[in-house]
Order: sequence, then C-alpha cells, then structure tokens
Amino acid sequence: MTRVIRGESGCLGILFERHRGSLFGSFVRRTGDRALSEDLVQDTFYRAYKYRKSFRSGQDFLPWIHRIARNVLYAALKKKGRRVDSPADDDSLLSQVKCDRPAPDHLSAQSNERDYLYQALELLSEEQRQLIVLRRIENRSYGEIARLLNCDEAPLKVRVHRAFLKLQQSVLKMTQEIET
Amino acid sequence: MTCNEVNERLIAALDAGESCPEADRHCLSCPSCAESRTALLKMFEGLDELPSPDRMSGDEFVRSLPVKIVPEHSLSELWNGLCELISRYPALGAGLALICFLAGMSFSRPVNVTTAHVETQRTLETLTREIVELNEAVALVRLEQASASERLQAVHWIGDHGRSDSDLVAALGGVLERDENVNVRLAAIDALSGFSGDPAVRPLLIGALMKPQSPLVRIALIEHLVPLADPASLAVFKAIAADEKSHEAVRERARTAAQSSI
Repeated sequence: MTRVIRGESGCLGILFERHRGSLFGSFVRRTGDRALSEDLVQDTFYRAYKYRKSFRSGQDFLPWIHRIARNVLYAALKKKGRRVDSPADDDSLLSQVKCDRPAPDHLSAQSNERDYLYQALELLSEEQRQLIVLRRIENRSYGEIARLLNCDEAPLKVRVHRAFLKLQQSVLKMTQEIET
Repeated sequence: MTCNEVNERLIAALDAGESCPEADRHCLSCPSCAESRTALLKMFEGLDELPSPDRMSGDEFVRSLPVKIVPEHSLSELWNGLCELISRYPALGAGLALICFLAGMSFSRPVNVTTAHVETQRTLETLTREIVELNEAVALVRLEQASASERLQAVHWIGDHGRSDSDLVAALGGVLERDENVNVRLAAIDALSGFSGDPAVRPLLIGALMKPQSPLVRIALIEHLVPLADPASLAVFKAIAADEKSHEAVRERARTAAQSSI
C-alpha cells in the first residue's frame, strides 16, 4: 500500500487480485447478491485508493482494508433499506458485520451447507482464507498465486495444504456443534 | 499407511484434482477414514461451488478507476525519508545542519541597499572612466596618423567627448602648431575653445596666432580669442594689425578685434 501511495498503480492491481476473492466471499455471504458483491469489492478498493493517505506506513493492510470494506457494506445495505448493525469504530473486521440477509430462493437447498462453509472459512486466519480462496474458489495455479503473493511455490504449497487441513478441522468442529 | 497420512494424501490429491488409490484402499478397511474422506470430498465440492468473483485482472481494475494513479510525494514522506537517511548516515545530518546554519547566517545578515547601490555606482563610474581613458588614448594615437581624415575625426572626438586633460590640450596644441592640414588646425581651434577654462589653452591660442600661417587659421584664432578678453591677446591683435607682412584680411580682423577688446 505504501508503494500505491507513491504512485505505483500496478501495486494496487496486485492488492486487488490478492484480496478481492476473500472480500467477495464475505460480501456474498452478507448480501446474498453476487453482482452487488462485485461492485462492493471494487468500491472497497476504489475507496482504499481514495483514502490512501489514511494508511500509515508499517500498518497491517488487512485490518485497514477490512475496515473500509465494512463501511462500504454498511453504506450499501443501509441504502438498500436493510437492517444492519452499526459498525463500531474499534471493530475493524468485516466478518463482524451482521445483517438480516434474506436467503435467495434458488440457493435455499444449498444455503445451509454454503453458510457453514463460509463460517468455517471465517474461522481461519486471513492469510489461510486468502490462500483457499485464491487456490480453490478462484482456481488459480500455484505459479499464479506465488507470483501474486511474491513468494516461492514450494513453501506456498505447504501453506495451502495447512489451510485445507485447518478448514477441514473447522468444518468438522462446526458439524459436531450442530449435531450436539 | 497411517490414518493421518491418508488424510494428508487425500487433501493433496483433491487439491491437485487427482485420485489416490492407496488412500482409497485404506478407506475400504477403515470406517473412520472413510467418513473423513466423504467429509473432505464434500468440503472440496462445496468450495468449488462457492461463487467466485469475475476474473478482472488487477490492471483492468486500475484502468477502470475514475482517477488516475500518479506518483506523489507528500512533505511528510520527504521528511520521513530524510530522517531515515540521517539516522543511517549521521555525517549527512551534520552536513545538512551546517548548510542550514550557513544559509541562515547569510539570509539573516541585514542587506544595506544604499551601500550596495553606491558600490554599484562606483563600479559603473570606474568602468565608464576606463572606457573614456581608452577612447582618449585611441584618439591621441589617431592624431598621429598620416590620414588627415583620421586626424580630423580624432580632433572632433576630443572636442566632443574629451575631458579637460593636460595631455589632450597639449596634443591639440601640437596639432595647431604642426599639422599641415588647415582643416585639422581649424578643428583643433574649435576643440581647444571648448577647454577655454583650462589655463594652458589661451597661451596656446595666442602663440599660434603670433606665428605666420594660413590667414583662415589666424582669423579663426582671432575670432576665438576675442570672447575670452584676455589682456595678452590685445597686444597681439595690435601687432598683427600693424604688421604689413600679414594678410590684409587678417590685419583688418585684428584691428577690429583690438578695437572691440579696448
């Protein structure tokens, strides 16, 4: 982000590609609207650029972008007349925004399973969620992900594998909780 | 193959989109792993079914922004960068501090506009004087030239621009006394009349009048001496008027001058 502030437009593109998947998933889960979620993702990154000067050097990017995403989501839902919890200033995580999303009819058969999966994903760390989204939801190759995250392919495969393991544990834990 | 290994292999195989016959065989004899395998397959299928965003590339997104990203450097960034550099190279900090101190000293010194103006004026005057002296030197050299035209121009220049200077007056006296060209001598008389305040000029004009030479030059000398009303010139006028060898026109003009001087 510091390089974006310096005017390196390519870096904003990289940040967009890295994080839009997980943000999109979060938006879809809360709005149930795929097209709206696409717009919200783009709006989030546009605002990130617009308010780039509020980003402090050395600050973590994820909490910062999530705070913007939360505000974007809050504004969009309010505009649509949905009830939504007011975002607190000290609460920067998008996952903590709660709204009364109506389940779309055509998704009702799978909506529970999908919700569980989304919830399980949100139990992961941001990095693990990002890896799973890039690898499995966006269907990117390891080479692509390595280039995007600026890391080596071999350790990346290990990290992705651990993320799948963690997700498996999260799903298992949630299933057990439901059964009990 | 242990149950843990089976799980690991299955995840790797599902991630790669491949099958793992060894793990499948293990699951046939292990109900726990079989259950885990089913849940894993369901999880991967669920992930594949999750909606993914359009594959808009980062570059496309940047191009779609309503504003253009341009490099910018805020003052605070520059300051931070400078602080970082100074912390890395203390000598640079010391150098910058010294430069700032010297710059501050030079800017804080009161500038006396009047003094600066006077100094400039003095310099200009010195330069002007040097130019005039150079031109006078050139004029003196030109007075010695063989060409009468050159000598005439030099005499005219001295009359117009020359200062009341003993060298110039002496040079013009020499021209009046020795130059063979009447026009140059007449011009020298005109030029000398411009320096009439110089005490050396009148004796030069009177001395030239006393010598026998061109009537035109003598008449011009009488014309220039009359307004000066020098007592010494009256005797010269009378002597010329009485001199029978002199040209009649000169005698007549000398007689008139003598009468007007009385």
